Amino acid sequence: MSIKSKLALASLGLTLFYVYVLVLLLNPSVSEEYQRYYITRDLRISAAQLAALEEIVPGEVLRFDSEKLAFDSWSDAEQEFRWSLGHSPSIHFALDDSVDAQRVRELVLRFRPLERQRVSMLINEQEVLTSEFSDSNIFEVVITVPAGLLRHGTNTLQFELPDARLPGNGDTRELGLALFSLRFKQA
Amino acid sequence: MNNITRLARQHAGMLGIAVLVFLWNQFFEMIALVSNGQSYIRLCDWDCQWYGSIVNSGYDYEAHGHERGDAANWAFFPALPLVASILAKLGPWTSHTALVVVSKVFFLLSIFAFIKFATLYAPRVSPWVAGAVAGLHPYAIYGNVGYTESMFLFFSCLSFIALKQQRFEAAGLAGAVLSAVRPTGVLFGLAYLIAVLRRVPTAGPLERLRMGFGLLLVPLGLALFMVFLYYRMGDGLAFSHVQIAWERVPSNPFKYLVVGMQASDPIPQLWAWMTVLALVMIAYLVLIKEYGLAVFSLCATLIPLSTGLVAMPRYLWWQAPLLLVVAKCLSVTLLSIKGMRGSVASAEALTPRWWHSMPLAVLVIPVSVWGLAAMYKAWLLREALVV
Repeated sequence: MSIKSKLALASLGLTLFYVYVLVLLLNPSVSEEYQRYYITRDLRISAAQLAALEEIVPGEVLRFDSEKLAFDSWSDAEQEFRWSLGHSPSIHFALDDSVDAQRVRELVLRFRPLERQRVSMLINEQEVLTSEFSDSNIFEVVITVPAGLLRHGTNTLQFELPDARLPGNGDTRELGLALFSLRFKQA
Repeated sequence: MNNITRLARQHAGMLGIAVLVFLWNQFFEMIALVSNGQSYIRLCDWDCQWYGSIVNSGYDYEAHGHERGDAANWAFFPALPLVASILAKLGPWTSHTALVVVSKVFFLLSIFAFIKFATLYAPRVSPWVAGAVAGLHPYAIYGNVGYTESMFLFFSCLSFIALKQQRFEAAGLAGAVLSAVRPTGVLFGLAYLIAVLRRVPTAGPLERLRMGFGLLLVPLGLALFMVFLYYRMGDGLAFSHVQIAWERVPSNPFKYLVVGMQASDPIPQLWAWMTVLALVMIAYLVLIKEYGLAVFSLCATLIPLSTGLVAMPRYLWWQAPLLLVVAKCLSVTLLSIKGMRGSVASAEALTPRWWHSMPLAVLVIPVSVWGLAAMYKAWLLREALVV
């Protein structure tokens, strides 16, 4: 075989190998948490943090500074509450295996909106509330959780806050809701 | 055998200079360690610890490090830990000792390779100045501490030397190893491409094939690492994705530069101004028509800068093209007055002869060595400026 043929063959082999590498790169074989945390970066809680979450028991009041909740796109806890940041904050929590997830039927939330706020809430990507809160009072909202929506292990409560904005007092954070507490109730 | 003897004779002078500079560096390191009451084992710190984890137990299957548990050793390229693993298996070395020894061996080799590279690309640069620039600058500390910097400089010099000599397969092969040393190693492919594109119109079919084959070789090291990562943990780009654990998310590099320049803390300010200086040097490389070197350095500067200013000095001052510009600057003689007339010419008579041909390096190198000592102290005290 001539040197020309050898070079051409080796070049072809390398090219095919790079095509194979490209296919692998475009199709990562990873968990959904990995995908969302490392690749699409729409999740700010790492898989290790989620796995380390202490499980919650229905009935207990979880304050804004509870270590049983993993806050994604929320500000640091203040004295009484914690502000949401941006338009899509979320809270992750793990449900105790001994709890019958099917029997958890209500979510009670205490929060204060930054003036007028349209609020949508989703549990595990299913919408459970769409409402509008037009003043800055503290609201206690009871949300019905459809049967079968919660599961053992990690769950996500996501907020859609299209009216989140700068408060206009020099604070550079885009605020929507100040969360005081949340509580799941069994039927 | 004759070829080897001829090559050895040809390079004996350069090798001698490299060994002397390296020994000077080791002497300063020993002084720094003794005066701070530390041993050699203290040299392996920060990233070296991560490389140590690769030598000890291979690449991670899952992230586990840092407070958020999102850090893993995927961020660290395989060439250095691979060589250190072999060394650790051959002798009674711990992983950390093996890493430090490997980085030191490559440090010596990189000084030699840089002298060769510098005198090839800028024949007026003295081998002594080139050696001193590579081995005695303040950030030369990274050649001794189990980091990839020395390996990176060595293989980038080899790649550029082979490219200049139009040994395309050799350039591609050195580039392939370079791409497995650090993420920016694969950027040599751009310099290669620029060099061959200028030759393509006049090259024959066989030479074109050799050029193409060399180019295809360059990303091979990186590609093999990607395939390995894919089969190890599922993501071939994990080395890039895991940067989030170090808060290194790509953004506009010039934003970081402006923020650094306006910072109240002098350290980011220093790093920002160093980066500006590097960009000026790159502009100079363009001016002297070294487009390949310029593009390599531009990308090897902007890519790390796009994730922040942290660790910028070691990304800058181990780039062969930037060190070449420094060596060229320091080769300027202090008093170029030959052929001048009048009062300047009379100054020639009043100053000793050796002064007339003394390069600027003679004044700058002592300051540089003082900087190196300061860096060692900061390293041993684990100050953030040396990460």
